Amino acid sequence: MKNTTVLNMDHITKAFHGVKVLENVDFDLRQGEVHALIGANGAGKSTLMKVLNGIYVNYEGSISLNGEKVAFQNPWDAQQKGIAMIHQELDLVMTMDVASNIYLGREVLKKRGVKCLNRKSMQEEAQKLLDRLGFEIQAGTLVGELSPANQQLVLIARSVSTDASVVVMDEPTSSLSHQETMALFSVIRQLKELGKSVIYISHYLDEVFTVSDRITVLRDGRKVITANTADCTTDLLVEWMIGKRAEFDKKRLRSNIDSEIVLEATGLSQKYGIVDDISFQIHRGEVLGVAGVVGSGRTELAKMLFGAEPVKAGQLQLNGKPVNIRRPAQAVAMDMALVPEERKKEGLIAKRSIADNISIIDYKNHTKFGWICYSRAIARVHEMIDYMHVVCRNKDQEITSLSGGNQQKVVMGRCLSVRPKVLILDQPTRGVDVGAKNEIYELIAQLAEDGMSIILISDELEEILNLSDRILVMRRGKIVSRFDNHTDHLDKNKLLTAMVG
Amino acid sequence: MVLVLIGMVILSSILSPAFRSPRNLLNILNQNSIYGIMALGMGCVILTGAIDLSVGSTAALAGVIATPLFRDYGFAAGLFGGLAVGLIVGLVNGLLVTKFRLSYFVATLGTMQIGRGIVYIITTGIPIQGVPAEYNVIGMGKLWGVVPIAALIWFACVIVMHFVLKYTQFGQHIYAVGGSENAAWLSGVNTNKIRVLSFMLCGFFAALSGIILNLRVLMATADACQSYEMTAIASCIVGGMSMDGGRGTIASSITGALIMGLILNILQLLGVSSYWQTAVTGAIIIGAVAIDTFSSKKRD
Repeated sequence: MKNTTVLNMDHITKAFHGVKVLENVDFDLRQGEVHALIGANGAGKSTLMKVLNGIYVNYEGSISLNGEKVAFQNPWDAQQKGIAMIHQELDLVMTMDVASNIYLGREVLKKRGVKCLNRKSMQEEAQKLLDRLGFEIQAGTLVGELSPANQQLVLIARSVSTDASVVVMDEPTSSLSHQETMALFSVIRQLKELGKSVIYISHYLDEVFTVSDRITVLRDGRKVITANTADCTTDLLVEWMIGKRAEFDKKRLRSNIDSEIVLEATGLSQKYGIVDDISFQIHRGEVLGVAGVVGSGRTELAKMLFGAEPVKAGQLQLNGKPVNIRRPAQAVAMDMALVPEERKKEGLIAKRSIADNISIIDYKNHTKFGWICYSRAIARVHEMIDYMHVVCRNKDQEITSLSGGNQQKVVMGRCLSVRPKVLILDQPTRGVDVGAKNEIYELIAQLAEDGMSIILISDELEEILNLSDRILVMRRGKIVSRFDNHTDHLDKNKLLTAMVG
Repeated sequence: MVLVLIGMVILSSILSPAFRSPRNLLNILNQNSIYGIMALGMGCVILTGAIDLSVGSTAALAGVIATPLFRDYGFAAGLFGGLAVGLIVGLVNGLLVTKFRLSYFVATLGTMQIGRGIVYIITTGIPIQGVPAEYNVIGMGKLWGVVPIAALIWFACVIVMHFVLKYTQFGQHIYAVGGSENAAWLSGVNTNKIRVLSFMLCGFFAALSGIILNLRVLMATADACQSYEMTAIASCIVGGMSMDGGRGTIASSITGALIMGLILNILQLLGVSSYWQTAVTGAIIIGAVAIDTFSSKKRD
């Protein structure tokens, strides 16, 4: 039983406008296994899954499911035949209850009389299913009121109820806390016991080691290897992913930080929220790390500094002068820039080109009598594309067509194009591949060296430890510890303890 | 969409000899300049991802206010008075949407009704007359006896707006707000200001088209420009703008307005009953946009 192949994707090749993004990729999935699919951004993981899911219908190669050749026409078709997709963006109807979402498209109708919805039976069945899976969710709750982690569980329950044989999870932990991730893993083990097969896509190698049985690595649209997880090491996987050894644990601190204080906050408190009594200073050319679990108030703090979140009390001083920033536009005028946490919602200007996205703030530096001088603005766009190593066809390509890492580089390029004095980075490497990550680290170090003051918020402890000169730890809206990374001999354990302790 | 327009011109020319006459073609331009100017302002609002339903009422109100000013205080007074009406309505729309956080649909539906209501109150249903006949040159006049002045105003406005949208920060910020309001805001765009200004521009052009109609018929009627907002919106959409904002060009609203006008013209020339004309226009709007989106959306 264990070794039956459920799904077999054979020599899949997919090209856009003549550019091959997948080339002869083979992928097979056995019953009851968790098969991790990893690779740098743009390696072709999502494309392969879109081929599987029927989003892309024009490709070369063949797919067979349970020994039968299939060619899905659309995601609905794929779902009917037993492929369940759990995307990064959860496709749930937020305004409907859990039961309705689980039975969406397969509503149970009353047997007798008018064929209207049998709400009671749906509710009961859904609750039974949730209970059986051990999810602490009420079937009658509105999905919009659930936490992202529980919303994900609803999708998993849906996949079980549709009796999907293959469940695809695309970066399922990107919005989950550590605890929730652990809970998800036990759910995945449950799915395995039910005989389901799981394709698990993630950037986090430690997760892959914990949860998967086999690993397939893609690079530049080709399959590098499929290996048993037990035979892999982090170094090996990283090498397969980027083709060369990455300097993963390199510390990039500065030796001589200017004594000049650029930004100083005293007793900053949030108006409608948990952030309370925050005081800190940041010097010229310094990287200040802010660590804390999801919900600790770090993102809110960043937004308060930037005028994007109302402030109840407290003082902010920029270059020694008190300032009152109530709108992001004012912060930008004072040479501050923010790379927001939610790239899709807050970072990208959708439907616009790379050039438009980069130069939206920078236009003000290239106007003559109120008219934009495009030759100069575009020259700067090219400069930023080169500087940030954005991989794209040309500057007029629509931003949403880029891979996550390249989108992030464009958003950072926008912030840097105006040469800010204070740069706030909220999860700058979220959903970014290893190669681009290293480039971003290099860049942060270089910018600080050049005298920029940087506030770095991150989930990744290595990131904070390797880049920050000083570190603030937030818990439930307050600063609970302050470390000097040069003298305090910090390590991951110590930092994590301060965060969750 | 330009191809659709050219195709329609060729087809119409074959179907009807009367269509081909330069006189008829210039007439189409003249007739549609009012819709076209209105569509310019509407375009600015649609590019931010909103809609302004109040333009028809604004145009009528501008005419009602401008008429006595034209009559008693001369051309400049009427022009400025009328345009001020447009700017004020736009400002109100903009503030309702940004400060009071009303949805643009509700806000402009309300001002549409209020505007029309004020027009009825002022006119009591009776047309206001007395615009000096010499001002008629703006509405009906022809440069060198050939080119309609109203169409020239229209094209001049298109050129100005094209440059404003493409070559000013304000214009680029309109696109950014339509692309993603949140991202634009966090990048330092004063999104509320952009929204208010786009509604004011919309009001301005609505008033301008109302004044041109006013100078064409030399009076202000209570039912002037009734349901013109739909034609203006349709012109933008047929011209290729995205209803969600962020995508499209202002110049394409010319194509849209002309396609709309041309349909009506050819139907009239072919002697199609006026009862049928409205329905056929609707079908052709759907057809034109469907062809456009269908041909551009090939599946991967």
